[in-house]
Amino acid sequence: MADRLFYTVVIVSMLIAIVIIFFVVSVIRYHKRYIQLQKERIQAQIMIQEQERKRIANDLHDSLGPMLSTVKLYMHSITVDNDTDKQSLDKASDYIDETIANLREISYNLLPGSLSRNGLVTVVKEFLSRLSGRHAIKIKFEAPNDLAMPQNTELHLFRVIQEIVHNAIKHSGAATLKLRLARQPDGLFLLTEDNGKGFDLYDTSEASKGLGLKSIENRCEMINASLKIVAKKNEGCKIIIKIPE
Amino acid sequence: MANILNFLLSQSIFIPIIIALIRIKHFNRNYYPFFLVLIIGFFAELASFIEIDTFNETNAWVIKLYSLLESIILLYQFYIWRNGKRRQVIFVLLCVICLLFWIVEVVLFNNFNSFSPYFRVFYAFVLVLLSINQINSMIFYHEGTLFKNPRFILCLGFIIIFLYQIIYEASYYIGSEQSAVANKIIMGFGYINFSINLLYAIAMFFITDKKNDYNRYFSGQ
Amino acid sequence: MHYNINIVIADDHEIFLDGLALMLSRQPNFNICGRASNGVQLMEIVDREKPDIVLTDIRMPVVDGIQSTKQILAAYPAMGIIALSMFDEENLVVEMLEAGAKGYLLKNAHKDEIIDAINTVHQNKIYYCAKTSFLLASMIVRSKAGGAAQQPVVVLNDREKDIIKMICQQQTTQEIADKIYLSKRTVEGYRVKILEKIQAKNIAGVVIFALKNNIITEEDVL
Repeated sequence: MADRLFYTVVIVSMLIAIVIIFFVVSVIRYHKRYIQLQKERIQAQIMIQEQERKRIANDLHDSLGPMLSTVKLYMHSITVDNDTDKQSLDKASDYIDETIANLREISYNLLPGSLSRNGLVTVVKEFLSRLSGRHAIKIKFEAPNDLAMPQNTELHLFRVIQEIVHNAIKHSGAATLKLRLARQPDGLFLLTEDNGKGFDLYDTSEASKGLGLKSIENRCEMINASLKIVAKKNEGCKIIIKIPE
Repeated sequence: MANILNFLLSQSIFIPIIIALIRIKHFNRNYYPFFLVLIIGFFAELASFIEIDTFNETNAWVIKLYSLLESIILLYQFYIWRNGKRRQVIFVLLCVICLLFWIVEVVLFNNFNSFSPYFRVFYAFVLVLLSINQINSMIFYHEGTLFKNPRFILCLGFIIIFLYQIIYEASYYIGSEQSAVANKIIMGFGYINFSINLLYAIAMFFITDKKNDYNRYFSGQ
Repeated sequence: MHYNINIVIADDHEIFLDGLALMLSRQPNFNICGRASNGVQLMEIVDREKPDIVLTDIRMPVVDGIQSTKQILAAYPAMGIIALSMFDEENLVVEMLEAGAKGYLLKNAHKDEIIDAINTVHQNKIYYCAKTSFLLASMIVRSKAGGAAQQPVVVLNDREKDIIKMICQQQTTQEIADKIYLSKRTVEGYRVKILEKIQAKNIAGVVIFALKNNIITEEDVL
């Protein structure tokens, strides 16, 4: 009889153990599947966003650009006799130039066309030179000359740099921002440091800054890069991104 | 007469049935198999009562039949609930295995008229696993609050009562004289049954119309 | 010199083509002898009219500006081709120059600049649009087109080189004058002399020349 008791207890315990293990394994599997789905969803969103930007940039280029240029041509074809008229025409012409310059800026910010041909370093330098003089911040950029990486990585890395720079300009009130791309044995590093007013890492109450950081996170994930932000109130902000080779 | 009255009063399985009938208008088709199990359960209780009280015979055959029906119908219920289009084969396979198991047990061991724990433990085990799977799938994919979802509540109930069924059958097999623990477990079954029926009743209460019946928008209603 | 320059223009945006034709035809010594809206039409018209100058859009359907340039130059190696570009086509501009175009303009360039460009290219010199960005300048220098056409042998003294550097950094005449302790007028004189020596028409030309001859490096400019 004791045998019976023993075997029964053993078998029932085993059954219950199996049930528990099944439960745990099942939870883990579903969780992983869920995380994967989320990741895919985010990536899809980012790709859609890039496509959208490309589309808008193309639209700007195709429809607005030529028309504005044509307007200017017609304006130049008007014969003016008196000085006041000529002044008005010149002013109008200048405004058109300004509009086109703004269009150029918008189109450029949407999609820096020269990425595919020129490589990340050149494009970043151009991007920074366009900004300089317009904002109080001083930006230093250091990078090796022979940086080669897949096109996808370049695009997302550029967007990350774009976001970091805009954040520094808009939110940090920093006087200087240093950007550095460095090749180390364990990967390519992007290191940024600003001496602005910093922020509390866990307080993302400021919606736009929170969104900006989220977008940096998402893009890092897309290129399999790891992201580390070191920031404290009044102690500026350091960002370290490691891209595996 | 008093006996019958007693019997009726102790049928806690009435509660979910009545609630379901009250809400019959909103009763979602997806839960019909479970409702069927409730009804069959009631008749099984009735038959058991009649056998024991009137004929003084054992009600083992009632339990045997009821086990088979409960397992097949609940398997069907899980099939309806399943999350993906695939895996239809698994349910068919499980049905077949249960049927075979039952037949082997009844025919080979020739014990239609006596209690035997094996099939009951087996199908309880299967149903517990299926319930766990269902609950996990719901945790991750379901929108809205889970605790008011009838499917969730039912699966919770299944897990509790079928786990209890396993240890109950084990205790019965050991025999209530051999172990005080086993005795307690056997005695406790009534209470567990009652509580779970209450849980079923709550689930029935939360059942609503089929949410996906958009056809009514098209047929000009 | 007043003699007619025969010009063919090509662009796939008809309204721009109209505007450009109108504006150019008002110049006394320009003659618009043909208009095309794609590369195939352009080739036909060039074959038929044999103009002096071709102004062509870069992006066109059927056959684009770059292909057309190559085709035209294969048949008429001395043809002066000027590329017209919208605001964001730096890499295409470089390709046009590599294909043999002698100059490029932004489509919203000033009327005077367009006229200047046509005249310059007609004299077989290269014309870089005044609004060239530094990125484009360095791209041009690095490309195959960087060594194209005339490379004047120029001797520059140190002072001139300094001034060139500062011009490239977009400092005004006053700022340069302040920095090297000269009068504004003297600096202005230097500017004119430098442009003459280098045979550049505008700052863009100076930048490209300076980059080519290592008077400045990309770091100074970008």
